[in-house]
Amino acid sequence: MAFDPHRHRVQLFTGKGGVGKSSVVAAHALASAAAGHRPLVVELGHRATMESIFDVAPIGYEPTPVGDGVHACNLVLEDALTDYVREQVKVRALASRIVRQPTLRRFFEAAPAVNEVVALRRLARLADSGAFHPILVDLDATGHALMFLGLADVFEGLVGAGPLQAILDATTSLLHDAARTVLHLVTLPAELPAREAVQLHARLVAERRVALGALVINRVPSSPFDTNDEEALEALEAFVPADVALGRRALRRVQHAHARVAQLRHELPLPTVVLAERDALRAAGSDRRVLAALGRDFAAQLGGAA
Amino acid sequence: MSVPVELDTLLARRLVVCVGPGGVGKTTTAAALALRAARLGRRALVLTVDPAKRLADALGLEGLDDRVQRVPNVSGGSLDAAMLDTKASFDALIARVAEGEARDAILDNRVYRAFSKTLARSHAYVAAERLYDVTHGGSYDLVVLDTPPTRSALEILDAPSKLAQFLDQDVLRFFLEERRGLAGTFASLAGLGGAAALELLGRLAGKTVVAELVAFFRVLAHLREGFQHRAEVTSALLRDPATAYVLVASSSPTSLDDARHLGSELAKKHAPASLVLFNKAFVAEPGEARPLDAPVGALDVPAALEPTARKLRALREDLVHDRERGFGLARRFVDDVAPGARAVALGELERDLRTVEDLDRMLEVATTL
Repeated sequence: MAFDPHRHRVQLFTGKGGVGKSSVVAAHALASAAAGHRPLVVELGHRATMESIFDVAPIGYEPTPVGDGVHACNLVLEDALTDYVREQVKVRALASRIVRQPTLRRFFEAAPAVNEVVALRRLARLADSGAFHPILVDLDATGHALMFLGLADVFEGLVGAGPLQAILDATTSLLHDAARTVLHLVTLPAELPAREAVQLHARLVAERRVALGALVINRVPSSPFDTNDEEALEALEAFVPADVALGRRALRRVQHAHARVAQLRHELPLPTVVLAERDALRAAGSDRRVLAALGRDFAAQLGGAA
Repeated sequence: MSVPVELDTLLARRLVVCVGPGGVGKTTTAAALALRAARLGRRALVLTVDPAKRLADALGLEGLDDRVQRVPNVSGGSLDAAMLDTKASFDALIARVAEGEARDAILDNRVYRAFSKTLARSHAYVAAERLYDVTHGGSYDLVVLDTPPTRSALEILDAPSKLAQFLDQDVLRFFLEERRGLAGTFASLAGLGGAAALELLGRLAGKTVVAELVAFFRVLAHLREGFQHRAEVTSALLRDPATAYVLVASSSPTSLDDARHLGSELAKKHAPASLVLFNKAFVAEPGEARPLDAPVGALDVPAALEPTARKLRALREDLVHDRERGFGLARRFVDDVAPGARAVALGELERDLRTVEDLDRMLEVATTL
């Protein structure tokens, strides 16, 4: 299953919290830029993850360069909302007054799905503008991803033919367009994240709201030992028992992880990328070269997967 | 092997809220804290946000759901466990607080239906209501509340005030008041007549939405007081000095970034964390509760075993190096995000969580930072 990692304009990344989505997104962005593309990393709501990874000042609503050919932006509710109201109202001063009106503002903050609608609208605009390719979206945990994809259902029958419907139509057609949009699943070779990935995959396949891209298994450890060591471990028990216990423990951990990788490959029929634990951990230290290497590895594994 | 005194001090509170990024073991940690309180003779309840199958097994429960269950064979006080069912329907809540026609009017309203379908937020409201119920029963000395990961972690905590905000008198008046209301405010905002203002609002949100919104607020207005009372009581509890916040983190850099944001939001909106727990922050010396020793001296092993012995030594060196780096990051994190908070590192356990004793052990393999 060869899969061109730079082909799709909009690439959504999701997975259980803590699986390293942001590092994977940043790595992919760096690799895309190095391959001559113009990638944009999109974060939803303020988390400051990309600021820390790229070591830059706060990233705002407008895409800004964060280095090495990568741009990033943050779809904050207030800015996305102002943007939307401005477009509808045309008169700038009036739009600002509406958004700043304290009562309306409280209402917008508390009302359901306002966040998601205006953020998706912006995403669709960014995609249509053609200014960036690919656009890599760092989605929140899996529940959030499902909600984004199912947003049109939330408003079913409510929005009539109004402007909201136009937004929903535009974003739905973008998300459903398999030529433009894919969703990558990021997971770890550990019980809970793997189970969540399998469950999410089943739901996504059933709901058919988005084309699936790659399965990214992050932080896969490799064994510190080879076959010769195994006998030696036993003999060493008499000399350095604590070290041997430590070694065996490391070995068990690696074996469990590899069994999990095999199982995930078996259960999820997706092009799979396996990222090494050492690299992933070093990349998490925000070393840009290590991140770029991780991104190249990502692209190579996908492009080369026969 | 002993539990750090910082943890026991914390458990004297009435409500302990665990927040933290995903994947750090928050749910297990919350359960371990509640178990420790029970061991100290208190009547404790842990409220998790997911079914935590493995935890339920370890506790000897069939599964966690929104029923409160007693964990069997806990000596000392008692430990109960339940899941804050964040998938429980908002409909059930409405059915509880509204009656007859008012209830039907709400359930049929299309804005309400959109609202109840936007999962994260409406679940947070339901969960906050549940928190109100359990903390007001008087059955517990301590409730330990687990929260969803990172970005929605604060939603449960914010939900009571958000709900109050949503049903705020001003917002209601804005949509409902005959004379001024929605159209009036828009008119004055825009310097337009009422009809033009409504037209503008229709353009922003769609005419159906506006009409349904007004209908929604009309029926909800009747329920405002009840909701608001509960929301206020819950909000007050979350601000009470008897409530403590524990930030559960791991010492990996990306996870710390998430935790950093969460910690500062928490301090801004509620109260600063009084304890930061770094889970799985070190490997213990095999068979012991203390962190792994650094390798010492040369190895005295037969030459044939040298290569493997060297690998073992390198493994130990790596683990100690990673830990020291992690501890360094963790200490700096606490100084930045929660100065004044106590910090405790928990070790990575060799065994998966299988019994209540494993849960006890989780807080025993610990070191104060």
